[in-house]
Amino acid sequence: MDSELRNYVVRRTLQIPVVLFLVSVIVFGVIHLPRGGPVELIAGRATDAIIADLRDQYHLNEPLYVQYVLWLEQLARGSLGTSIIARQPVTSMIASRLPVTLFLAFSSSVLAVLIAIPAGYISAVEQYSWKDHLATILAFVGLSIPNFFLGVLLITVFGVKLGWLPITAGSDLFSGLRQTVEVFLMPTIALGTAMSAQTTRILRSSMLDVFSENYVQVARAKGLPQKVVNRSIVFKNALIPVITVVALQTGYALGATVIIEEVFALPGLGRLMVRSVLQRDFPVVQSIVLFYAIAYLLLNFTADILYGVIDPRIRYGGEAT
Amino acid sequence: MSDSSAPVLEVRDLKKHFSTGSATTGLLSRLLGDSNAGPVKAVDGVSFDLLENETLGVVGESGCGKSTMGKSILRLIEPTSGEVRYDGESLTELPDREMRDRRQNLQLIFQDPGSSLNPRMKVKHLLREPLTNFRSLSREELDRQIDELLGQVDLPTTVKDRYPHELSGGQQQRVVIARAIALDPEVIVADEPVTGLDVSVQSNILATLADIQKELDLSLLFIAHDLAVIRHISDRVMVLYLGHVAELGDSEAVFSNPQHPYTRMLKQSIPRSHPEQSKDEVEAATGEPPSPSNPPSGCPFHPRCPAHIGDVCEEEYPEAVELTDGRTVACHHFEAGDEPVPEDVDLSAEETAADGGPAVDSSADSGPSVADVAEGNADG
Amino acid sequence: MLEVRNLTTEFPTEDGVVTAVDDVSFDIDRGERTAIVGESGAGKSVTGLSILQLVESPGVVAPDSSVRWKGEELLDKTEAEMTEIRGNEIAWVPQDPLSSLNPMKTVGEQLVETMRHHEYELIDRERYQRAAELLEDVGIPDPHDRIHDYPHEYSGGMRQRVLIAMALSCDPDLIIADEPTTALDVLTQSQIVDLLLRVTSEDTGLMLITHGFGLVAELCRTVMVMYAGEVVENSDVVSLFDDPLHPYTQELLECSPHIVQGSGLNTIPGSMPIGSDRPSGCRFHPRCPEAIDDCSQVDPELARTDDGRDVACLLSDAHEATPPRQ
Repeated sequence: MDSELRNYVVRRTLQIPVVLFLVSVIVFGVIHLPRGGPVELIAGRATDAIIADLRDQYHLNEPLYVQYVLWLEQLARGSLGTSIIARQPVTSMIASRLPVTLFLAFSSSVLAVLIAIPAGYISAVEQYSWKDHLATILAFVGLSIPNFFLGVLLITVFGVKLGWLPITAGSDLFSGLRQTVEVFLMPTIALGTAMSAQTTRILRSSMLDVFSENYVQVARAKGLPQKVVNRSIVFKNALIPVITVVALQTGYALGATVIIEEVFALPGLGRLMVRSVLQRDFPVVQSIVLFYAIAYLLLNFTADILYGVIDPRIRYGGEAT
Repeated sequence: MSDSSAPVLEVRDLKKHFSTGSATTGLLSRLLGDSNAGPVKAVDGVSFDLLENETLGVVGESGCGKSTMGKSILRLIEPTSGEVRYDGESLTELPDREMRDRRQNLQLIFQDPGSSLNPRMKVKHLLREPLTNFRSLSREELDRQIDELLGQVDLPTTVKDRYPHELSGGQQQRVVIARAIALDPEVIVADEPVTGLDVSVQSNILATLADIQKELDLSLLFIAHDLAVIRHISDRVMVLYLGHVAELGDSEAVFSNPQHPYTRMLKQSIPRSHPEQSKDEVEAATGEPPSPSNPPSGCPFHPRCPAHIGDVCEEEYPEAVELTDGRTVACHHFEAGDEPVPEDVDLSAEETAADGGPAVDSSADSGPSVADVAEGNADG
Repeated sequence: MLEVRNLTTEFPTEDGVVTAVDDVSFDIDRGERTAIVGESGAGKSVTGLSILQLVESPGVVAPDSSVRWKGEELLDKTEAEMTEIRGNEIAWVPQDPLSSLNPMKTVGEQLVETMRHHEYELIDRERYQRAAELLEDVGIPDPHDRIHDYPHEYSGGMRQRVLIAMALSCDPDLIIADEPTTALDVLTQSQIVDLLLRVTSEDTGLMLITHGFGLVAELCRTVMVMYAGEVVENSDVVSLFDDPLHPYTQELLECSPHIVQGSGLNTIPGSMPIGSDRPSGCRFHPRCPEAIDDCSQVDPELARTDDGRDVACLLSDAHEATPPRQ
């Protein structure tokens, strides 16, 4: 059994370099192919000499494939380049903001799961009860409210009117537990509740599907009580689609932090990204996009591995005798 | 079954091999030490004739390739090698457009009627489809044909406007049959048409098929795993094992006196027809049907064969030979021109010659073991 | 051991109430092997499920029904009490081996979870040991290795054996087997039949639910024929084959190709009524070759003949005789 899992993990891992390579090509292409080049717009009112200088500095006069190789070399050296606007190494710019974004995305994901698991479970087990209907309604409300709106709403109520929570973050967000919670509470709720809606629905429908499987009836025929059947069989077997959704959602959350960071003025990658795009600061943009792509890749990889752990049929590649 | 019956279908050395997965996963599997990554030899050299107006039963366990063979003959799956001739003309070499033309005459009935009928089409549209595809008929003629078809399969015309899910399993299968005969075919390949149907529904469908066959003068290749059904409906029967023909001959002869050890084993497994019917104390069927992706060497049946002779069974594949009663058997116990061995003779006699089995001459009586008889003969 | 009286199970549908099981009564003694024969829709599976109270909602067992097991009324028991009996005293062997096993748990775990729930054996290690022994008993090679395999790694025939092993795991008094061989090859079927003969004994009885007479002659001593929710004949197997009392039994026997050898397979015109769409009087009368006028008016009760067989037909001698055992 273990060897099959090992084979499966190996197979999946071997795919990563291939995908990474493709991702890097696409990222690079998206940034560099469009006409007008990255520098012109930045320079704006600068003189031609400065523009030419910048172009030289960033190797923009070389053919594209050469630029690509130079970029790869640079990455191999561990450097993400230098920001045109801020004139700082991109690596340090990202490093200072990365914790905020990661924390926000993951805590929202965790919140979503913490809400969705019990809600979806109860909805499925007590289908059509008032609890189920309530959860459904809340789910639809959650899905329908844009998260930035919810964010603004929360700020207005809890920040401005009631004054319980700070409206803007200070500079050092992780200095103490209380401060971290105060700063991240509202953004997490804004982002997480909408995500929980989808996960709740998927868990519910997946469990209902499993309920109708023959082996569930057989389990009851063996004398297992309904509660045990629900917990130990139905819930576990229903998890595969849920994993997919959670993985995709976490990826989504990483992107959605862009908006939430703006609303709550959090110094995260999202805000940096927006600024850099507007300023055409391409080394920064390129690096951040690469980061997001790798994050998605790892999330999907983790989801794939989890599938293999949970469902033995997937490990074996579906080889039934 | 006269000799003057021309064969409608001639199948020669038909093979269908499936490769498992793509090249890269195959390579990867072998690197990681996966032993099952070989081609699946679903059909591995099947030859037979289907005569006019006859019902040829094809029987075997799951994995023996009977379904694949049926589809390969009609080129619904492309055969890997071998030839199929219809009315003397090669089907396997035919270009697609002409093959499509021939399909009017060569129809297939699948096992599960629920999934072979488009659930979104009403019965009348399902029946109309083949007619509009291949004939140009006016609206009234189409309707009339449909009514006639329904009558031939014993369905009331009221089902015309129903959807498949509104019909019972038996009724659905009748619709499938009606659709298959719409173009007046010469050959119908029926792949497990009554499997999964209740006994009385099954007998009804079998009666309908028999009537249809008589009315339309067609040849029926009837694939199933229920021996009793096959015995009942077939003129001749072909027993398949792991993609090979084990035995092929007149249905009554094969069932009343099976020659191939596998056929004998199959016959033993038929449940008794009366509680007090005695059953010989033969060893119950042993083992599981082997996997077609990893077939045994030599004769594919040797690991389970109670009449295993020796090395020859493991090393050499037994070619099919013809016995005096016209049937063919693929087993090292038999040589061309042998008499069929009586049923009560135990084939597992150890003294059988290792070079291919005894030659039994026509003076053999039932009773003495095959070995005894062999001693009294001059082998060729 | 099992006494079923007036068992009626109904399903409310859009077209009205469907009486899937209609006033069914029968007994099963300790160690007896009996068959319930009926075509799809006759109500045989629902009968089995009703005994275990596993009928899917909205189906419901009617209040006048009685199912007594070892003297106690099962229909009065709470769900918790029923979970003690299911899998423990009365075990179910389901139909389709592939979909009846949890694909995400090993075979060993599935065998052990039953034992664990019924507190059979004290610790898990002993339970796994017993599970391996059970697998060996049912003919699985290398049981100590295969116990850690998942259902999809087994072939169809082996999975069916696993289901039988699961049913045996807590030493039940009665096994209810719902069409245990339908999805299997002929050779495998005969192996399963042999297995069932081996595992039943004077202590472990068998109620075989089947849609044809195929296995009945091999396995069972008594047989009950159901048609459209009712029992039409109940008899010992030999007498039933020699001299079927009910016309449906006779017709059905003659439709079975392995019983009727040679040509001339019988056909029964029409089809069994399913659902609420049942004819008046005797439910079989529209298709019955021996029907008389009264048959469309009166739905005959099960009556006992002199030699202890039950039949529900106006034309039988029994009909004038005493009512069935109560």
